[in-house]
This record gives sequence, structure tokens and C-alpha cells, in this order.
Amino acid sequence: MKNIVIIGNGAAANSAVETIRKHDSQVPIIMFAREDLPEYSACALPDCLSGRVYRSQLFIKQLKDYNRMKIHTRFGYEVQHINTSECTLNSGQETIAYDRLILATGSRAYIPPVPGHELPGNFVVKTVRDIDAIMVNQPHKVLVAGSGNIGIEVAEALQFRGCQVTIVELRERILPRIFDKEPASRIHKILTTKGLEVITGERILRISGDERVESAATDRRLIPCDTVIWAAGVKQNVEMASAIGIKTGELGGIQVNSFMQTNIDSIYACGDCIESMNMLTGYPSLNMLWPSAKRQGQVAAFNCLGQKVEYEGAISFVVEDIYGITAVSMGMTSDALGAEDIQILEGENHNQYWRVLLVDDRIMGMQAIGISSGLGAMMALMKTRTPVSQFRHTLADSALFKKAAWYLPAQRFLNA
Amino acid sequence: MNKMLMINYHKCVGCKTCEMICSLVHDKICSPALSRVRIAKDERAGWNVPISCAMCEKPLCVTVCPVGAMFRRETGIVAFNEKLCIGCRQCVQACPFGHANFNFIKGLAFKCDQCDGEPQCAKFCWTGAISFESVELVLGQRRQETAQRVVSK
Amino acid sequence: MNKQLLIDSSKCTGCGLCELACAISKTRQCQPQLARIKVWRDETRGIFVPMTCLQCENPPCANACLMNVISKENDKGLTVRRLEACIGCRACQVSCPFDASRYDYIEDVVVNCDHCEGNPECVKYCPSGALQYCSLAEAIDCLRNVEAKKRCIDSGL
Repeated sequence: MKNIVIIGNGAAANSAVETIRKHDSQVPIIMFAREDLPEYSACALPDCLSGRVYRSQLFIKQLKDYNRMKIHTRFGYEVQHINTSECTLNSGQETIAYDRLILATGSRAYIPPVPGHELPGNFVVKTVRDIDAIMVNQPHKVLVAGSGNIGIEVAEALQFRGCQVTIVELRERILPRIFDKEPASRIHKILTTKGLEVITGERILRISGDERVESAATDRRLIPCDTVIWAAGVKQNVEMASAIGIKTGELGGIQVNSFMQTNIDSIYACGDCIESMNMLTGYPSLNMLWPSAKRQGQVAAFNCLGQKVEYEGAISFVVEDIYGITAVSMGMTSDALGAEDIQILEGENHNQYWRVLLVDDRIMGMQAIGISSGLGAMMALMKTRTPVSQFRHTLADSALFKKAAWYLPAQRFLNA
Repeated sequence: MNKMLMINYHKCVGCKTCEMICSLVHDKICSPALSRVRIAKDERAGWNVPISCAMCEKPLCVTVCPVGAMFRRETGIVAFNEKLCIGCRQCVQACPFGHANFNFIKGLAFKCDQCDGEPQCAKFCWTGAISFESVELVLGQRRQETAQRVVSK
Repeated sequence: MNKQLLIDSSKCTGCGLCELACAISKTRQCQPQLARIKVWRDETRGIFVPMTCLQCENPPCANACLMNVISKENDKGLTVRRLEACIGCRACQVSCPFDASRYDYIEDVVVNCDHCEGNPECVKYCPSGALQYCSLAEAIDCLRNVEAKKRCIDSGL
């Protein structure tokens, strides 16, 4: 094999190169990336905003690490065009022939085309440069638009910095895609107790100001602010792929088979930019999460090297630290399960709350607040599709359960 | 599953040909440590016992595997998907017979897969200690042996 | 051959000395919650199960870590963490099927068992022999021999 070219420098791309080097120390690897920075953890950006993590600590690799791994880097160079019949790609500076190409182009933050969104004072949190820009701006009164994972973390981080923060969420509850109504309302309570203003069920209509952001208008009120952070979702970077004929799906991501191959020979894709198969449903879904990206990068790399590895599918796994309280959501939410016949096992104990969603005696999802033990076991039971009745039976049998020791931490969530 | 590995403990001489063939067929090297079938022996007492996968109906290795790498097929074979294995070694510790093993070089567990229907250990065992027979035949044999023991007492 | 911390729950009496030994040795606090080993207790049935990091070859915690803090140290086969880069997000803790990582609430990082540089404290203090530090291959050979002996007796050898 002549070479492997990777477009991207995030979790999926780096997981791919690490896997390649573990198994083949010689094959030339070239990495292209739009950002001229070595690998950093995008998930840790809110921690950098709060000051918990220094900017330098964000970086997972230094440029010398790429040299040590014998990777040719083209950071700061965007791939302009790919010629799939000749298997070459062009970056404006050079044309390179590729033997295997891995697309790990990721996603970008989405800002809805609200009037005033281009005024100075509007930001997103997706890259290190975004954090730099926010810090330079010296925010005081901040409006966070969107209450997903990022929105909540950014709100807490900026409040820790001394800002007055208001969260505005379009839907009727916060974290709508991650938590059901009950756990979401408990988290909402934690946020308001800590001094965040949280508004749900309102849409931002307009951002106003003379030379910079001065206020935001929803359909019900006017909120004075000097900074707006848009945490309203992400858009996958698939334009170039589409342009060269790579099929994308209904959800907007690149379509891949279980070997991470696109519809074009020798081109693979992984990470945020793809539609991956959901392990629990078997249907395409968007799983734009760090662990999914890393695993997909691994699988794409194996297949590039000729080792046929089938991807087992993605499973949602979100861990949030909300004012020191761990909030976790795994698998599917009630909304995502839709019309299925869901059995809910709910419980609480002091400051701990959990909710398990069962369909057909199998765990399809779990949400927990203030708990950090036993969740890995629940995830394992979810992945292995172990029927809950079988789980209880194994635990009841003293001889069996000593062997399946890890079942025990999950017991309290699955009591009849 | 209508066929199983029949072990005749009286016939095993401990030559370990089965171990060499098994490791050769699966891992391309002659290494008893990598063999799925293993001969447990006591040279002083003079016994040799081949131990391989029992293909349990309710396999403990499957119960303890947290990622579903060990699983039971409908045919009854307890199979292993090495691409899912995280190398936690719970299966190794759970197997009541000491069969499920661990390849430290690859970092993956391994177990008998009956060579996809044509077990090589049975093919190469020259004493007939290991053979691949129908379940009825094995049961019939056992019944005969038990009867003979009872009668000879 | 690397040694493993092998646990035999049938011998565990639930005394918790392993937890105390670990916590004191690692953190100087007499606080079982800080121990890298944890004993799960089912008091009704009198079953006690110690669990600690299994040093998986392809650990799920490494995949979940947002800062690539976790890796395998090739020499001893241990799962190691660069604690200076840990931001205490606890994603690794949640992703471990065995609940093997421990949140150190004093340092605000997540830690795991490191075999105490080849001489585990918990093994030293376990009064019942439930914890052993030995080679897995030897342990399995032992188990196989026990099973073989049983089969010999059964078949009248």
C-alpha cells in the first residue's frame, strides 16, 4: 500500500492514525486539516473557558508527536478538490495521490440565520480560536442560545468566570435530546439554584445592537446582553464529499457500510461527519460523540490496513459535570424510542436519581443524576442485549453471580 | 448441535499432537500455550486428560463478557468475536473447566471453535482419545462404560 | 509473563482490609472510598465480591477519555493514566463495565489500580487469600488440572 491520507485532525482522525501506527510503522500517512493546530480536546473547551484547564492543557498532541509517529502533516491546508477516478487530491498548494483516503472532516457549529447574528459579540464554542475570541471579548452579561450538552457546560463555565448568564432554549425543556422530561427538570432545578437564568419554550427572533451585541429579543421578552453564545447544534462538514459524489443520508451525514466504506472505492469515513448505525436500533443515526468517533476511527483504520473489522454500531453515551454533579445519559431517550412499549424503572436515593428504559425486557436507555457507579455495568448489559429477567436470575444464583461479579453494581437499578 | 467432541480419557497418552495441530491451524505456530485443546496430565499418577470447550447450554463465559464478544450461536456453538474483545479476561476466570484462555501477545481471549465443523484435534489424534461423534453415540458409549463398571464390581 | 490480581470471591469475608490498605497506602487517608479496590457486599446472602481494575488490553475507559490520558503501558501490561492531564470529567468511570476506576475527590482526578509497583498492598493484607497476585496462565493451568482430576475420578481412571 502506497499511502493513507486522512482529512481531519480530531478524535476520529487521530484514533485512526494511532491504530494504523500500532499495526504498521512504515506506511506513509498524510494528515490534512483546516485548523493549523495539533490535536486538542474539543470536549474540554468549556473547562478552558471556566479556567479549570489551561489553554495549553487542551492539546493532546504536540507537533513533535506527529513527527515521532512519522506522520506528514498539512495543518492549515484545506483540501479543495478530490479526483476520485485518478485517486488524487488537491489542496491548492499541491496535488497528492492517495491509496486509501479517510474522511474525518467532523462538524461545525450551526448559527441560525437570526437577524443580528453577525454582529460582533456573537460566538460559538467549537474550536480553540472560539475560546480565544470569547476571552478577548471579556463577556459580562451572556446569553447562551441552546441548552444541549455544550450550552449547559458553557453557561456554567462563564458563570464561574463571573458572568451573568441566561440560557434560552427553543423547546419546552432543557437538554431535550439527551434527557427525558423528569431528569431534565431536576437538572433545570440545579441550574436555577446555582443562579443561572433558564428560559425554555422561547425562540430568539433578533439580536440587536449598534456596533456590537446589546440585547436579544425572544418571542416574549427582551434580554439585555453583551455576548451571545450559540449552542444550537452542529452541521456536518460533508459539502466536499457530496461534491465528489459521496452519498450522504437523510440525516445529513456521509453514508458508510459496516466497514466504514463510502460508496466510492478506497474512501472511508468516520467521526462526526458520518451517519452511523445505531447499535440498539440497527438504523442510521447521528452519534456525534467522542467515544463513537474514536471507535469509528479505529475501525476505519483496521479496514484500511486490510484487516476486515465490522463496526458494531454506535451507542449514545453522554457524561456531564453539572456543578460537580455527574449527569449521564446512555442509549435512547423516551422521545427517541417513540411508539415502542416502554417500561420505566425509576428510583431515587438522597441526591441520586435514575431512570431505566426497558423495551421487551431489554435495557434500551438509562439516565442518571448524581450517580457514577454501576453505570458501566448497565452499559454492558445494554450492549450485550441481556434480558433483565436473565440478569435477575443470574444474580439470584449464588454460584453464578460470583463469576459475573460486575452484575452486582447494576442490581439496584433493576430491582423488580 | 448433533455432533460433539468425544473424549476417551483411557486412550490419551499425553503426546500433545492435538495441541500442536490446534495452535498450528489457528495461529500458524506450534505452541501448546496457544492451543484451544489442552492436555492436563499427572505423570506420576499416569493420567492424561484432554480438556476442550464443553459448548455449555448456559455458558458462563457468555454471561460474564461485558461486550458480547463471547456469544452462543443457534447451532449451539459458543463462539468468540475477537474484534469486540476488550481483553478483560473475565471469560478466562469464569470458565469452570479452565478452557477459555488468553493470548497475551495479541491481547485477546481465545477458545475452541470446533474448527468450523471439522475439528483438527480429532482428525489428528492417533489413539482415538479425541473424536468427533454424534451426541447419541457419545451417550451410548458412556452408557456402555457405566454398565460395564457396574457389572464388573 | 505479567502477573494479574486474581480474585476468588468465594474466599472473601467482606472484612474490607484491602480497601483500607489501598487507601492508606495511596492517599494516606483511612477512607475506603478512595481505595482502588472495592468490595461489593450482599449482606443478605453473605456474598462479598472484591473488584478492581482488570487492566484490560483494549480498555473502554481509554476510548471514553476526552484527554487521551489513559493508555496501556507495554512493559507490564498495566492501564496507566497521566494524571496531570486529567480534568476529572469522570467519563472513564462511567464507561468501565467493572466500576474499576475510582474518583479521588481530594485531587479531583480519576485513578485506577496500578498493582503497587508489583507488590500489591491489598494482597499482602487479605487474611483469607481471596486476593492473589500471580500469573493468569498458571492459575488456569491449576484450574484445568483440578477439573481433569475430577474427570479421572468420574471415569474410573
